[in-house]
Amino acid sequence: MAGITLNSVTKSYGGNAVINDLNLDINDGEFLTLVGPSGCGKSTTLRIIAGLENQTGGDVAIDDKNVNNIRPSLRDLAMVFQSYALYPHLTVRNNLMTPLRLRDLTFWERFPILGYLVPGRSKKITSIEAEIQKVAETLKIEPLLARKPGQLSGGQRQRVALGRAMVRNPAAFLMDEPLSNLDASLRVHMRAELSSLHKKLKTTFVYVTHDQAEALTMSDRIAVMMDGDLLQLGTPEEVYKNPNDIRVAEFIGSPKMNILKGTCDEKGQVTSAGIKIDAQIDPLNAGAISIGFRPEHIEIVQKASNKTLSGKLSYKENLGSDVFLHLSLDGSDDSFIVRAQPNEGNTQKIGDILHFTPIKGSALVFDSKGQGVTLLKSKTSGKRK
Amino acid sequence: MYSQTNWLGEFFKHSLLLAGAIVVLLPFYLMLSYSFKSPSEIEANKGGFFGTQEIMTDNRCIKAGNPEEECLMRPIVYNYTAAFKEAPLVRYMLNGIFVTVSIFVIQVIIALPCAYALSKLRFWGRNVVFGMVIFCLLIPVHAIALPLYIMLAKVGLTNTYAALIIPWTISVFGIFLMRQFFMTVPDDLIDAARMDGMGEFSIVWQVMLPTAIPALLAFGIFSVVAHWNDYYWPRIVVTGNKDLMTPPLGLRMFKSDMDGNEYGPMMAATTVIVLPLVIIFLLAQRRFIEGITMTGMK
Repeated sequence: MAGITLNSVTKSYGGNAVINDLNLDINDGEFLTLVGPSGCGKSTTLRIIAGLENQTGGDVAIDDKNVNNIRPSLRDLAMVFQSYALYPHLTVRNNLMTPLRLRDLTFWERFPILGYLVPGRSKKITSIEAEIQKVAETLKIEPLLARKPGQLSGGQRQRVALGRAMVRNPAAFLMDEPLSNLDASLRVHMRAELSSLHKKLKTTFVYVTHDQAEALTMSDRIAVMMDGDLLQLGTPEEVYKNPNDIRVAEFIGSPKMNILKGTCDEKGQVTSAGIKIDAQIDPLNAGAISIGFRPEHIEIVQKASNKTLSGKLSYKENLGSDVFLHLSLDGSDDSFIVRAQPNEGNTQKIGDILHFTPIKGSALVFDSKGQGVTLLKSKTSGKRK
Repeated sequence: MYSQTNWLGEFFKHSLLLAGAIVVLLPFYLMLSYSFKSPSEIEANKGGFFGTQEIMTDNRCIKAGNPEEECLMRPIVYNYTAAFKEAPLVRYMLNGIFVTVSIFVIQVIIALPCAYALSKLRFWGRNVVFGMVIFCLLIPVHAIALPLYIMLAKVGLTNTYAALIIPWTISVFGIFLMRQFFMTVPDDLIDAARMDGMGEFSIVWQVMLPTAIPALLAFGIFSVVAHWNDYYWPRIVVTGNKDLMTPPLGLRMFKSDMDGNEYGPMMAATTVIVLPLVIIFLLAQRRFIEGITMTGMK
């Protein structure tokens, strides 16, 4: 068990910066997810923590011990790869055994044939076998131990890859999109399983994914990265409710948040498309702004008024429990997505003109640079954090 | 239903292939046929493929002063016993096995780490080195044979096994082939091995080698066939010592020892020499073709 600290880590490939000045404190025993679109530097960050990649600048510390010059295998971390990366020529048992053999046996004990002659070897092998048995039981892969990876399904390989990481009892687990090669239902199932595994092991998990749903469901904290920057670090609730950057707001949440262009007048009143939005911000932000609404924060109303917007229903997405209505607004190419209850949504027809209004206090306001701006309730204001 | 033109096209394709097959197989047919026949049958071109197998007398046997009854035998028996009697064929075959296996093993020991470095490690000048590997593929052996011979002669290695083996131990073709194969091995696998605590050498031998077995087999066939059949190089470096002769070199013995027509025993010896290769090829055929298509070579 260990906390991991990244101190102004940078990484560039031949002048191309991939990570800019990253500071990150991962607590002991925490499930932290690095999430972001592909190419944002999240996998590189993980590889830097693992030691598979050297950072261009900055420090990595595990348990307050600087590990900049320590080899990956000596950092006491275990990694689970997207492609599982099991040794194809070894059985599952030997796959699980490899990290332990390399850690616990000496060079001569690992030597083919001669190794059997080294005293004390059989005792070590017995304890390794016991370790493997324990992990195999936890992951329910005992029947697979004699098979080779090629004979396993995707989900089974995933478990074996997890097992190979677990046998070492590492200080922290690093996971690089471990679920993205699984089919949808298995992925949802494995999310729950990973969460419960984390609770059982009480070890630090650093999890990299591009799937915001995985990030929201499993993490203690989420770190949203984009273009090499850490944009926001917080609990799933915080990141969802209070995104501090318009890019975070658009990335987290499915379907995507609706963004409207708007203006802020000298009194701090926000208006968009000619209607006054129920949001007051610091008048310092007067000028062009963006306003975000989550699909679930919009209400369909019967009658148009000076507080409603309207759009033509262009597409319905029926998920059974919810219906997402895609509305095309006048003068905008993007569709505006509204969540409706099934009984309400199913009665609407494609081509209908619908009127809608944001639910009070639900708007998120971003300044012209895309930074989040707090809504004014009392006289205090400032950047959201 | 096939149309007329389609049928014609198929016919044309197959006749072409058949013609090609005949050109390739005819020498083998003759070799096998001659190894069965008596000298008179070979000379008169009679007896079909297998010959009549009439009892014949061995002239040499009589010259050696044996009574006539002991020198009567069937041509097939005569040819094959003569093949083994007149030249130490077994010795040549063992030489051939020793040389080709040594070459292949050392080639692998050298090529695998090189290929690993060229495909998976990032270092300054990697592309230049790889360019040089490709460049070396273009150099024909015959062009450098003389300097190689002089070097070996200066070191005093001519007429040794070392002279037969050392020049071939660094195979740029092997390095190239294995490098192309290693490019397809996912980086994750190597990273996983590093996380597990393997060093770079362990990765080469414990991770890359087992995954590269198909490619190695293909390379093995290229290498073994080339050096088993090589006549040119052994002819240059083995000048006096008959004990070092490899099978193709040994075949010369029949030519020079010959008084009169000895095609039968010579073809029998050739058959014996070719046989191991044919058997290996048939056994590894599928892998061999996989290996070629895999790299898009040849």
